[in-house]
Amino acid sequence: MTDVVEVPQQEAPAGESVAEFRARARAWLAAHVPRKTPGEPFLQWDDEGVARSRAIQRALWDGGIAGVPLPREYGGLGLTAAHQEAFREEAAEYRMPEEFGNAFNVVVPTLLAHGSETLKRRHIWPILRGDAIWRQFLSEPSGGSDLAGLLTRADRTEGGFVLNGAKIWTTGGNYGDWAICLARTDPDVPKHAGLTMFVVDMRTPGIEIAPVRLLDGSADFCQEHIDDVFVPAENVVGEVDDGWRVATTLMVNERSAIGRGWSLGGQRGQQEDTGIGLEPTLLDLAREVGRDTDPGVRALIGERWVLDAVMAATTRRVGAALRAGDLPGPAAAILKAMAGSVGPRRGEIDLAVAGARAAAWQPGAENWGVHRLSSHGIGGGTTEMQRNAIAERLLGLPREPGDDRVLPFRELRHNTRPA
Amino acid sequence: MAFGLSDDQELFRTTCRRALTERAPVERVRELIGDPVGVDRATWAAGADLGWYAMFVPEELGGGSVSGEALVDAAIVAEEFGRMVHPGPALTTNVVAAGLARAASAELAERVLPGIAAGELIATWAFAGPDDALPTTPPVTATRDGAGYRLDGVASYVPDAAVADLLLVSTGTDAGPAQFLLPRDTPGLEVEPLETLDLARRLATVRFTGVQAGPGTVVGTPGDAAADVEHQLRVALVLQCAETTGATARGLEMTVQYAKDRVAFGRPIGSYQALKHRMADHRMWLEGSAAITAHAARSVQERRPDAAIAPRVAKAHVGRRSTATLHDCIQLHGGIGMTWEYDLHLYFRRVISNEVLLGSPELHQRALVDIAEGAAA
Repeated sequence: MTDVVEVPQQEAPAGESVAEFRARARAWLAAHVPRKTPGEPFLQWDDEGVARSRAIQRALWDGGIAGVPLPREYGGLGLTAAHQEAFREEAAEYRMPEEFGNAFNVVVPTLLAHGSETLKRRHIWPILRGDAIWRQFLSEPSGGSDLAGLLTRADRTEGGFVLNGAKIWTTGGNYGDWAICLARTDPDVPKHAGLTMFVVDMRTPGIEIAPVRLLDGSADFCQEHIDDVFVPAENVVGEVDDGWRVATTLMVNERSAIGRGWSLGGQRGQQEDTGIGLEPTLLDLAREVGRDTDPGVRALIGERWVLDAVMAATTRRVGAALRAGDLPGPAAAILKAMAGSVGPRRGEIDLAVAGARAAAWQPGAENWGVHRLSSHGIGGGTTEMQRNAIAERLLGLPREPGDDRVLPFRELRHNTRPA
Repeated sequence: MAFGLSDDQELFRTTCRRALTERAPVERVRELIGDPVGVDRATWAAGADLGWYAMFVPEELGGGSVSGEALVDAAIVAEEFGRMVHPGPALTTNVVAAGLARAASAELAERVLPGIAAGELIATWAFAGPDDALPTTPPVTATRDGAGYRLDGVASYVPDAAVADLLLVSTGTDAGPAQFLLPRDTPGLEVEPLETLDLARRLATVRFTGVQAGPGTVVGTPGDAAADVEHQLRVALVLQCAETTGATARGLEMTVQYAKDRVAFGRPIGSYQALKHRMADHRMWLEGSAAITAHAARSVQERRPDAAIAPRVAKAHVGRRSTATLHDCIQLHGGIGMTWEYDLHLYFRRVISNEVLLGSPELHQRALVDIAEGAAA
């Protein structure tokens, strides 16, 4: 089967040194990729943002600078980590196709680790060429934290599997081309042992994608209903019923990418120490509402700067430690847990300074109340799950005992979504 | 290379830890609790061989640091001191050394810095007032008197004043701040020991009554020493944060180990989420303390644009979070945590003491607003 998939190659000189590659990447980026503009969002899940990112990724492919360290047999350049680092440095000033972040940071390493030759030859190069945006079908409406307790079923049928269930919290789900999807293939074994990872064409009939509107009005997330969706057997990643191992690889890669700063290019400001600035917005607000001389309010404004500075310093320190291997992967949970603690406190402080202006304001003025409203540690893994990771994986404290890891899945109380 | 430290700095840390654990385990620290001097002389001498008092002293005066980053190296020592709740004047001696290396005349520097580097001279800094741990104007005044000055007033919370050979005194003059380096036995200078929450730390009030400070005792330019005092404060804040971070790290380690070993209701208490989530939060804020302290050390060391801001940010974070962590470490221990013979309260005492000395977290938060307004004005 493997020989039927033809993998197109980028045009790039053979045997390039890091310096030669860097010079070529620099010239190509300058001529074909837009620079970053201040204040632009990191991700832009709309027609314009996605079209631009597809075009940029295509430009990287056309310039022979896409998938720098990825094997040539799958469409990459097959160059070294030093070449990749040179690319990241050169790309730091340019808009990168961050909507492909999931594909590069999570899907490609997972496919390389566990995917069949066919899957690798079929799916990696379209990412590099800007054709395929990938999403993850992991969380479900009935359970996010307890991923291994998921309910989506994959039943064997002629030539493959039929999937039924629901997935949720896919960012930009309506712009995805392919998804990596975890589903249950065997309910008669303990929950971790009966899962399988699939590659799913998001345009397969039976997949219905709907945006989920959040409490602050934003709608970047989607929910997917999966109704009798056929997936061919060759789309199984790894072995049937060995999906938890694949999912673990996926999550490890996700964490280390977060440690790297997630961006496909270098990110100035996150990896470099730019110093602590005292951002004036909140002090300006205090002046506006006549509270800037109140000692209590001044202490709160100072506290907010402290929170921001500590978050930034910790992000740099943990990121560097993860890259250097000085901290194990689960240490990335420190950053998410801290964001989950800092966010609500920042919201409280904004509320205390803004007072009634957080409840109602002149049309067009700043909405300060929303900082309190939406400052939660839920998305991407709740703060409680981060605390478990820190406690169990970093501090080595024992797990809570439970039957759910030993009993067959069928005999467990299943995850539910209360009506 | 770990956490931005060089291999040399990592080795230095290991050496410091070994010296302290071998010579001054917590049992030894306990022996010194009632001792009026409160210094372990053997460890002090070993510290001189390891360069603990030499990093701020120029090489030509017998000093030098492991890495060339004097404050980062000194912070490593401070963190290790915190881990062992080690007593003694090493940190305050280094603050004085940093101040002298910056502002002392060549003659004065040559006279005292070699002795400081060699561990032969103990120095401390008299800067706070009895009711003002972080004074805006120094509590001691200096008035012109012939060729020198006359010093009057009361400095307080002076670390290890009773054992110090030299006192660096920050004073106010009509023209502005001035600093003097005085031998402790200078006539008119009286050291009155205070009772201390931190049982392994000596703090004293120092009374100056008509103290004659000759021209040779002047450090920097009289009336123009504000920036010198500020620099010493930054160094002191960084070292204090490093020490607190070390003490907090050790206290949390003890607690996590206890939670693994202690079994109740049929399983280790550390398996209960109600407890382990709290320890996870403490671990998280501890990482923040280490990160912001390291940032502040480098900012001050390299005189970066945020060198005034970073130590105050660090103090505000480290001071508050560490006390909360140590309090909860005791709570997580249960009964044993309340006892005198369990070491945890020694750590708790150190971090509480460090929270309020050199200005409370809230005070430093307000100082940030002052800085922002000053910059905008």
